[in-house]
Amino acid sequence: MSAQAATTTMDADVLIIGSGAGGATTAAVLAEAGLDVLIVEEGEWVDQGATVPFSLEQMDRQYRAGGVTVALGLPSIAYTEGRCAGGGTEVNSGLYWRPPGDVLQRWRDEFRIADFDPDEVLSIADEVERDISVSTVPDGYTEPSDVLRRGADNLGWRNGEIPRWMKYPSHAPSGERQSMTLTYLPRAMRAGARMATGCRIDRLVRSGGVAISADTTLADGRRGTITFRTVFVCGGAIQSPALLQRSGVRGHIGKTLAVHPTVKLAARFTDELNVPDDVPVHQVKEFAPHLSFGGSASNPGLVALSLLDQWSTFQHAITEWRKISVYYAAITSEGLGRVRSFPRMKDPVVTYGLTFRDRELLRSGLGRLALLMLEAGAVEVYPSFKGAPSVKNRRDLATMQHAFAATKASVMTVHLCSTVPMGELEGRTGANSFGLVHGCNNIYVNDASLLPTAPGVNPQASVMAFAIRNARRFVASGGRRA
Amino acid sequence: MPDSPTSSLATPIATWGPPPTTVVTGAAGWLGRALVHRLLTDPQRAHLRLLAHSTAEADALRQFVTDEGGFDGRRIDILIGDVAKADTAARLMHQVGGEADVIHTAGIIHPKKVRQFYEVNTNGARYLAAAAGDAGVRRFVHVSSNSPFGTNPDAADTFRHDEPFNPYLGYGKSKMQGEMAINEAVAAGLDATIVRPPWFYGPFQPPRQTTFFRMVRNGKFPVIGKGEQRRSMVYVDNLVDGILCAELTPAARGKGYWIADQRAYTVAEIVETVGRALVDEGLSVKPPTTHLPTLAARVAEIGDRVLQGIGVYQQQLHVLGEMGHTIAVDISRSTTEIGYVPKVELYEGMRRSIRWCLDQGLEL
Amino acid sequence: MFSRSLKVGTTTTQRTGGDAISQLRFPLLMRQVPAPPVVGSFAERLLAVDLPDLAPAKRREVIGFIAHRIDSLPSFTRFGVLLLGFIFRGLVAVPGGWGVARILIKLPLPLVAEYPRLIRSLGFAYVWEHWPDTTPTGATMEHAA
Repeated sequence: MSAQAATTTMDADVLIIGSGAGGATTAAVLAEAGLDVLIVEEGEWVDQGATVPFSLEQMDRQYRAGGVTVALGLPSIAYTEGRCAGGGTEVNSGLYWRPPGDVLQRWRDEFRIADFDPDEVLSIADEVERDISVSTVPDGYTEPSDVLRRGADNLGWRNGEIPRWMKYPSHAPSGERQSMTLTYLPRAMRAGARMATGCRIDRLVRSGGVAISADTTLADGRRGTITFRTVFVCGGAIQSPALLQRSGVRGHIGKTLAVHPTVKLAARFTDELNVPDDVPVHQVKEFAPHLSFGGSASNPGLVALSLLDQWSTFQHAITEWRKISVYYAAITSEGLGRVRSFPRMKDPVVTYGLTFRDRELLRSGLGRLALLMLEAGAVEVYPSFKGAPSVKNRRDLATMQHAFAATKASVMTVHLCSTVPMGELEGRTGANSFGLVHGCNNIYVNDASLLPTAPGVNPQASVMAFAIRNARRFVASGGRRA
Repeated sequence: MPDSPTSSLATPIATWGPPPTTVVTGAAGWLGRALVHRLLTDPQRAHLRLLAHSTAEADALRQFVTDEGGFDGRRIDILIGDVAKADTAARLMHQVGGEADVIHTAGIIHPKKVRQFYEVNTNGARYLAAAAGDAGVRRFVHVSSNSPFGTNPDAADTFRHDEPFNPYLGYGKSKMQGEMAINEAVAAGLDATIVRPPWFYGPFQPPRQTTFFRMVRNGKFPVIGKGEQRRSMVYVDNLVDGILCAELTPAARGKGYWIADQRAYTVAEIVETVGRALVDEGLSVKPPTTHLPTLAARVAEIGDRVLQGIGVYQQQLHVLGEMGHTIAVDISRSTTEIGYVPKVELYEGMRRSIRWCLDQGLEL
Repeated sequence: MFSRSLKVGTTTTQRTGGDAISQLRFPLLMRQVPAPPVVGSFAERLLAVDLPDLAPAKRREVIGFIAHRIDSLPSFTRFGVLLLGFIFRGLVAVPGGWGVARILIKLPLPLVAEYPRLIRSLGFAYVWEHWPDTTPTGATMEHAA
C-alpha cells in the first residue's frame, strides 16, 4: 500500500487534510475503526533516508518554502514547517517529551477542556511510546551531546538524555527515525485508508456550519474537488488556521500563535566532534520551563550560518567546522503571534511579538549556555548575534550579555502551536474540547493548533496524544455527520 | 539525571577552628559591626585588627567595642585608612602572618561619583588581596554581591550557584572586577572565598535605612506593578553566619557562595511583612498606597543608566530602577558545601531590626 | 536564462505547477516575477564582496540556488523580498549606488536589513554544505583535514 498521486475528483466519508503528527494518527484511529478515510497531503512522499537530514535538499523537498518561512516582527522569527507525507515528524529532531502533567492540568483548568483527564492523555502517550519505538541511544550518545551533559554536570544543572522515536538496527548512535511514514501512515493504509499526495486544499466550501467539499489544486496545476461528510484539518499551526480563514470560518482562529523562541551559539573545542547529520539527545532542564538548552543540527552549512551574524570577526572559525557544534537556548514566550490570510494570497502572513521579559530571557539563556560551553571545555564560543564578542572566558560573558539584543540575533523556532486552541472558554478557544471548530458541524482541527499554549517541551508527543484522544471520541460518538 | 544536592549534612563538612588573628575591613560599617559583635563573643579570637575609614568612625568603633567589653582579655588594633589607597593594605597586613584570616567587608554602595565604585570596590579588593597573599594568610573572605550577575530575567527565575557575569551598572561592574581581582589572586596562590549577599537588613543599620521603615509606615514604599518581583534578602546575623562558614571551611577555597535567607520574598510580601512587624512592635502603619506602573521603574532605570554613564550617581533613581527587577538566589549549595543554614527569616528579622532602631533612639 | 528545473546538489527539483496557476489568479503585483533578474545581480555583488575567491562556476551555481529559493518563498514574503530586490537592483545599476546599498545594509532597519541577510544566509548555507572546505573568502582549502 502506498500513497497515490491525487486526482481531480475524489470522495470520502472522512477527509483528513495533512499527514503529519496530527493527520497520520487521526487517519490510523479512524481507519482502524472502519471508517472510510482519505488523507490528502500537499507535499510529496519522501522515504526516510532518501535525503540527508538537515541538508538543503531535504529542506527543498520536505519543508515549506525550502525552509525559508518567517514570522514578521522586531525581530522577525524564522520558523520551519514540514511539507511532505509525515509532515514535521519526518524532519524534526525526533526528541520525545511526554506532555507535562502540570501543563495538562493548567490547560484543562484555564481553557475549560471538558472530559479531559490528564491520566488518560498520559496513558495514550504510553501507547504512542510503544508504537513509535521511543527509546534512548543504545550504544552511547555523540560527543556534541556529551558536551551538554559535561558542562551541565560541572555546573550542577539538571540535564538528561531525551529519548527519541528511533530504531537502532545496527547499533549505531544515529538510527532509523520512526516518523509517520514508517508508523502511522502505513498503519492507516493497511486499515484501508487512502492517501493522495501532491494535493493542496485551497478552501473548504461550506453551507452554513457544514462543509460539503474542498477545492483543490494538484501538483501539476489542475484544479479539482473533494466531497466528504466530515473533514479533519491537520495542516499544522500555520496552515490549519489559514485554511479555515480562507474558507470564511470566523472565530478565535489564528490569533494566539505560540512558539518557543530560540537563540544560538557555535562552540569550538580542541578536538574534532562535529556530527553533520544528527542532533544531540541531551537537554538541560535546570531552568525549565522558562529556559531550556539543547543542540542544533551542525553540518558545515549550518555552522557557517551560525557564524554569519558576526561574520566580520567570526569567519576564521569556519575552517575549523569539524571542531565546532551549534547549540540553542529556548524560552517559553509571554508574547504571541498571529496568522492572517488575505484574499487572493496563497500563503498567510505570520507575525509575532516578543515581550520585554522574552528578550531578557533570551539574553540570560544565551549567557548561561555560553557559560555551560566554557565549563564543558570550549576553547571559544561564537554567539549568533550581530556585534557579538567571541567568548573565551568568564569576563567575556559580561561583555556578551551587555552587547546582546534580540533584534540583533537570529531568533528562530521549530515549534508552532495554539492557533485554534481547544476548550470551552469563550473568546479564547477556536475549537471545542474535542477539536470541533466552534460554530461548525463537521469541521475538526486535530493538530498542534489545538494545544492551548506552547507546552515548554518538544510538542510532538502532546500533538499525537491529543489527536488520538479526539479521534477516538469521534469514533465513539458515531462520528458527527453533516 | 543526576540528583540535586539533598540535605546531605550526613557527610560532615570539615572545618577549621577560629584563627588567632582576625583582620576585618569596613569594621565600622553595618555589616562590619554585626560581624565584630559576633567575633567578640568568641574568646578564641584573641587578636582582632579592625580597619575604619575615618577618625570619627574609629572613635565610634572603639566605643562600640568598649560597650561590648571587647577589650577584656583581648588585643584589638583599630587602624584608620581608606582601602582605595594602596598603602592601607600594606599597613593593615603589617606583621600579620599565616595564622590570620582576613574578612573584607569594606565597600561603597551609594557613592557621590561613579568612579568611587572602582576606587573602593575594585582597587580596594585588589590591594588587599595582594597584601594578604604576600602575608600568607590562612583564608581571605571577600564580601561581594549579587550585582555582578545582574537581575533575573523573569520573576520565576532564580540564580544558581554558578552564573555568568552580567553586571548591573556601576556598582555591579566594580564588584565584578573586584571578584575578578580576587580570582587572579587565588590563581597566584591566595586562599580566598567569596560570599555574595543580596539586599541585607537587620540591626546596626545606618541612619539612612530608617527611610525604608518610614516609607512603609506612610504607605509610600514604591511597589512596582503588583509587587510580584522576587527579592532575596539576608538578615545581617544570617550573613555573619555565612561569612564564618566561608571563613572556616577549608574546602571553600577559590569558590563563591550565595548567602541569603532561605527563600526570596515578593516585594508585596516584603511590604506586608514589614508593615506587620512595625505594628507588632507598637508602631502605626498606613495601608500601602503607592503602586507604580512598571514603566516608572523602566524609566528610572534608563535615567540611572544615563547618569551613571556620565559618572553621576543618584541614589533614589537607582533604587527605584532596581525595584522593578527580580533578584533571587538559591542557597542550597551554600548549605551543602559550607554548612550555611539561615536561622532568621523576614518577619522575625524585621522585628529585631525595628526593636534595635527604637533602642538606639532612632525615629521611624 | 532560467530553466524550469534546477540542479541542487545531486537531485533535480521541479518548480511546482501550482505557481503556474497562481500567475493567472493573483493580482498584478503578486504575479510571479522570476527572481533571477531581480535578485541575481544583487546576490552577485554581495557574494563578490563576501566571497571574492569563490570560483565563477560555483558562484553561478550558488546564485541559481538562491534565485530558486526566492521563487519558492511564501507569497507575502516573496513580494517583500522582490520589492526590496527591485530597490537594491536599482541602486546597484546606478553609479555610486552600491555605496548607498552598503550603508542601507549596515543600518539596523527592520525589514530592509533582512533582505541582504536572507541572500547571504542562502548563499553561505549552500557554499559550505556543498564545499565544506572552503575558506572564509570562498577559496578552496589546500588540504582538507
